Amino acid sequence: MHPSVQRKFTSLLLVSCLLVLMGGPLSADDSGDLSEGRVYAIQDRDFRMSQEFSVGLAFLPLDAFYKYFALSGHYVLHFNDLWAWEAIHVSFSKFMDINTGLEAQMSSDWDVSATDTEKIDYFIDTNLMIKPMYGKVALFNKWVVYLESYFLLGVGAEKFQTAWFPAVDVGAGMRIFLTNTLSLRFEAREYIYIEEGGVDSTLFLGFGFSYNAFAEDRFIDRDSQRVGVRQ
Amino acid sequence: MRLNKVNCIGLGWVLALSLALAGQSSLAVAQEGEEVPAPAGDLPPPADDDGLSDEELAELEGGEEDLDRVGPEVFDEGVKLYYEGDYVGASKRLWDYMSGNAPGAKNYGYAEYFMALSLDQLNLTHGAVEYYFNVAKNRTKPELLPDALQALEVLSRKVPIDQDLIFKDLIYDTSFGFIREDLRGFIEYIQGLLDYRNGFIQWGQLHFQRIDKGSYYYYKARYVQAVYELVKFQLEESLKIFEEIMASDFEQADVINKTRQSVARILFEQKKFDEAYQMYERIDSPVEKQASVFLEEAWAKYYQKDFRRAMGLLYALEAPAFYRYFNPEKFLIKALIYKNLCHYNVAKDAVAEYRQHYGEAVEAIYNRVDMDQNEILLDAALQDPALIEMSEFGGLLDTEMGRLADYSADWGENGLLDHLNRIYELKIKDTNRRLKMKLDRAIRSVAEDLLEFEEQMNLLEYEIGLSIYKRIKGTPTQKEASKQSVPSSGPQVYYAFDGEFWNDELHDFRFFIEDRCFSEERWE
Repeated sequence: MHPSVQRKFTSLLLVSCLLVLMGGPLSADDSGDLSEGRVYAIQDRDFRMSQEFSVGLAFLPLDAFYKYFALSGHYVLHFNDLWAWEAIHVSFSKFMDINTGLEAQMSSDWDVSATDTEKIDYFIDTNLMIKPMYGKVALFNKWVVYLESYFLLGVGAEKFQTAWFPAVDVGAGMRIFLTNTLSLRFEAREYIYIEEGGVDSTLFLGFGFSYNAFAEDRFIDRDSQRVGVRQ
Repeated sequence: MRLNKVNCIGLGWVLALSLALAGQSSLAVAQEGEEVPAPAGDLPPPADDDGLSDEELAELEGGEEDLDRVGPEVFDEGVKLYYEGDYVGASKRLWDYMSGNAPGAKNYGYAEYFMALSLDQLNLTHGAVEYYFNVAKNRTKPELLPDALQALEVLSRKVPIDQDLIFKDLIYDTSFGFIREDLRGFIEYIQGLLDYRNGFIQWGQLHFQRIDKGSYYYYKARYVQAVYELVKFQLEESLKIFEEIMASDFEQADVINKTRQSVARILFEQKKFDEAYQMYERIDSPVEKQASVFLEEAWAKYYQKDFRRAMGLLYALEAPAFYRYFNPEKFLIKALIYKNLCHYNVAKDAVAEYRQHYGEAVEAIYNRVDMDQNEILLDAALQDPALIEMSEFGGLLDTEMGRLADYSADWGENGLLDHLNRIYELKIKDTNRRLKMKLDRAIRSVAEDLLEFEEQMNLLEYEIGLSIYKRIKGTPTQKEASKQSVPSSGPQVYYAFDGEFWNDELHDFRFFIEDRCFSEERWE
């Protein structure tokens, strides 16, 4: 398999796996027929996002010649509990690359020089975000941790050393709520950009800290409605 | 029955005499020939009330020769070990000292106190209580009284304790004279409570008046007074006191939650179902202790015709935490809800479910077999509030006695292990005897309740059958049913129940079911 095809295949596979893993449990929630009776625990969301400011680190693992790290920043406007708009995402990876030594090895061992080794400088994109899953998990059977998953679809551009390339991106991520205003997010994105010779892609793995501004606007005070059933 | 010393054998009459003279109410021995303590012979001879000195008493009991004298250095060593955190070693040496000296010995009172502290640290709470009791009752070292009472107060809030011993024999029967302020509330509360229980209301009120306002025991006393008003059917007066408790900034969960539940019950009786429900929802005791709250809330919601919520609460009662909770009412409400929603088949299933759970017990009652042999009745009877504390105390004794074996290497040789084993054995026997006496009455009460439910279920089954017949004869109308749906997103999360109970969800269950009555032509 051609290396570039293999790389695309690998990155798409990674994103797909993430999507399947995160989307899988959706099928378990069968709303089903209510005529015969069905029990739901209906709870107000403890954590609701409003306007999110996020900073983080990213890793771009799939380039054979360079492994990139990046600093990221996001601003996300959450319309409601299902939809949000990641108005802007910028990741800056210039000067944050690690040379894998492949280029030098090719040159010294086989006297071959790579033709396309342009480095990525940064990304900029805007995305639609959908958040279909929200729930809680038991951590070591001691703590209850609230999670949310999200999927991204957007457009943007990748800036290489010499040129800008337009890109579309898809991604999936998971948010772990720490408090009403702080959360951790982990995500994977696949940028498919159009370059001069065709189409290529970049896999982006990131995590970040998010601050939920104006959280109080959406906070539902369960305790004021009912005191202390949480254990 | 308590023993705090061995090594001496006395006759019954000598024991009785010595107990009366020395005021050793904690040293009670039921049978002739059991080991009893004896006073030491070389103590200063204070004149007794009856004119007998300790020396004379010792001579009467003939105990002097039986004692192996143990010097104060053993006591000192025990105390040193206690402060070094070696509670097992401390208990051992203190017992060496106590078993080698008479109760009148110089440091005997202190030895008992440190023994109590050490056992307390080892979580042998009943053993500790016995020794705190001795210290507080005998008062050979009056300066230790406040500390012993303080320790008993703390234990009474933390673990089940021998209430007869501490509350009746010690606190109710004793005049302590001046007691420091922080303990006065505890003493006055217990004395007042027992006065109320015994019908001496004015005396009880006097005790309660001496408790500092705003303290924990002040509100407990107010709660007792509110309940007393309730017993007299003075609902308004009772509510006034309950509201006073709730209006305070007092945060002791037990008093506040009991108050909330009592107020909710009054509101329910006054048919203020919504207010009653809101009050129930404010109860924040551990969820596994809220079985009665769930059931009462379900009734409130049933009367409000909020069947979805009422049924959700009944589902919460299926949680493993409530497995032992005796609640035939659950099936009654369930059947009533299904009947009200015209799901007649499942309504009949609920009746059948009731029979599956309690049929065997009902049969046992009808057959007049020994009801205390029936597990369901027995289990239900043990949930009687009067028995819960006693059975919890019995459980604690069993557990602690089981743990005594862990110390056999340290305490086996000097006899402390045997001594503690005997204390626990006797208390377990005594507790079981008292439990058995109360159990018979409780089982009878449960049996009567169950027969009443059986009757109601029979009636309900008949009514369900009648409703089915009416439905067959009726003509469907064109009335539209209200559609139920689960939103895919929103400020509320809908966790479909899959059989796994989460504590935080128990109060949030809702039952979604179609109302099939929309197409029914009702005769009425």
